[in-house]
Amino acid sequence: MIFKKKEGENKKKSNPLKEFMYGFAMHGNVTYMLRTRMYMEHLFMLMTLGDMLGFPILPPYYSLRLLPYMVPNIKSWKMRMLRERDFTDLISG
Amino acid sequence: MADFLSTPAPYVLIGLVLYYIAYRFYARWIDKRVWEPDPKRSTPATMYMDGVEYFPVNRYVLYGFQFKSVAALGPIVGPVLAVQYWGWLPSLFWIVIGVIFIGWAQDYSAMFLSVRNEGRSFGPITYNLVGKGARSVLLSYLFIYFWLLTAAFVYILAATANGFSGSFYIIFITLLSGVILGQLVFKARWNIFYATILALILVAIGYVVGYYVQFPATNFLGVYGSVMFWSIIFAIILAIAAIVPLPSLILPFNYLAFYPAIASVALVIISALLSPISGVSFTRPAFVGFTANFTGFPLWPLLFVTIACGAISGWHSLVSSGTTSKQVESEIDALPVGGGAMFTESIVALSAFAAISVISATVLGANGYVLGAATLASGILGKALYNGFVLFFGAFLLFMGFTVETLVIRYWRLVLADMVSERKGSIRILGNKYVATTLILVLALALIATFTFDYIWEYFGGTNQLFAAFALLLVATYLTKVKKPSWYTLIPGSFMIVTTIAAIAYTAYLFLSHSFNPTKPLTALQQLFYNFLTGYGITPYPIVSAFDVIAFLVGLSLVILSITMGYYLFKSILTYRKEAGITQPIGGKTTMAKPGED
Repeated sequence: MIFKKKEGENKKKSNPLKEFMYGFAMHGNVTYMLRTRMYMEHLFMLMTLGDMLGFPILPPYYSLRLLPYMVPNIKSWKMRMLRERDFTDLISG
Repeated sequence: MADFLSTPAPYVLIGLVLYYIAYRFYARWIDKRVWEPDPKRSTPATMYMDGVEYFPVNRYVLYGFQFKSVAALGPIVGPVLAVQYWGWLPSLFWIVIGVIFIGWAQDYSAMFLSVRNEGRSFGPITYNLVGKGARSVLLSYLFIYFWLLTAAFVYILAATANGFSGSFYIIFITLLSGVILGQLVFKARWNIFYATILALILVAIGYVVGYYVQFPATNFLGVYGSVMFWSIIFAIILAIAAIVPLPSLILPFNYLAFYPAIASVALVIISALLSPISGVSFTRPAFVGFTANFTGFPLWPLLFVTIACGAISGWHSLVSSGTTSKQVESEIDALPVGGGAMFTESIVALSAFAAISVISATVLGANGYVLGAATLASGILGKALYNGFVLFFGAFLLFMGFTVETLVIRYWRLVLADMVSERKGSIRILGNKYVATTLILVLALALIATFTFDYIWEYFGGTNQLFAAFALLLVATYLTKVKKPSWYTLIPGSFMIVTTIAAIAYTAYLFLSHSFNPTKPLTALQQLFYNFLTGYGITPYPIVSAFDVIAFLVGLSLVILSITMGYYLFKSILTYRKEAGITQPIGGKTTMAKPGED
């Protein structure tokens, strides 16, 4: 039997005050953490895919072993790497 | 009734009602007719979602984040100075009119501009719309802007720590609590709830320590010596905070500071609204005159730069187009997030207006806010709590200044690194984080040392407002390009650029004229600097003259940069008009329906 969920049933009930508080106190921190992880992932991707890009950092054996873990991130990594960067991107108050 | 009208409550209430009306009708009208938000159109957050920079965020979360990012010392210090210079009526008028017709429009439009330009920030947008030269001007401009901002904020931090003995221990213990919280959460993997409880207990201990350990006493080295002492102490702490990784200190500190900060803002607003009950009423004149008390500044153009944030602020456009625009979930969220946060920040300015209006003491700088806020809050909750509130609001000011300043120093480093990145030779060392951090703090201390805060604030306000003018004109350029009506940013942008160039030029002229005749101090505040030097047998004139010339050159640079940027922007608007074949008056090309026509 298939239970059809009503539209929006999965969505949590919005609590504006709680979300405002979270945005005020925590969102900047979370964004910063994500960005830090992004820079670390860049390094990891470079290490793993380095030999294909002309930077032989890891032996190909290990690169190939790690490749399956990298594949899901390749699209967003490529987007981030190719995107133009400016210092004004980092200003967030 | 007369008593009621002599309290801040009705004016704050009128401000709130006008904000609501402006948001509900004018802002929504512009939103619907000019930008035409389409909930079905993909935003950069959904189109380029990478889970790091671009990802959709709930509008309430983003509103809280935007408000936190734009609110700092600006909306507090500006009204405090302006009410003492020209009276409360012109200050209130500019706060309310400024935010209704200019402030929200800038924040919201800058955000929408970025959303419609793939989430790009101001640097690339300026480059694309106006050209390479304009982007270079923007960079130079930000270089000076961050320097002036640092000087103004470090002075305020020092003056507050000196004025309210014991407040330093609160921020110091909160910083230590931040370090502990960071270690507990990020290293020891504690649950954030328990770590927060522990850290907040430590912060509370900080308040108790600050209340009982009032050492060193206010002005323990004389006013000048004490303010310089605290400036150096804060410069050292800021240098450390700006160099160490953010999760070690600043992120947990900002998080902890949130709790007393939000309580302070709410307390002042509620106390101001309840002032008819507490009986706290205006003690300052409604209108002093067209020439300011103490400084002699003319109302136009200087009122419009003295109150920057709270009415309109260029900083906000950087924030709106920096991070927030990349996380807007739907186009219909741009107005509540961008415009809503600006209206909320203006409420903070109204609270500062209310606080400074109920005390009669002359307190230049942010300390007047502390005394006024304590008067309002103790009027409601009990006079016996006055001293406690003084410390509470003093710490609030320190938190607000410190949280923003550490980030500003980091941004300045980025600007400097960008400026020297393509150069060769030893100048590249300026991109080093230790060198750059030391440089900005030394330059800021040099400005503070001359004790011309009231003039430096005008420079800071001027650069801030000019940046806002650039943002408004940049939006007008884009709207012209896409054949949309641009009058709602073009007219305020033109007003702001003329007013702020005039304000900076006037301040620069005062510095220049003083450099020829430095026997008398520039301001009453600078007399303290004169006294300090003569106390050590040093003749102040050559030093002051040299500083005046430097300050004049800074002002002149700002004016030249502003005129250049204005030229680029207006030229671009005219070029796009020509390309689009628009023949109607500038800003008047419209596909916009009149109200009620839809």
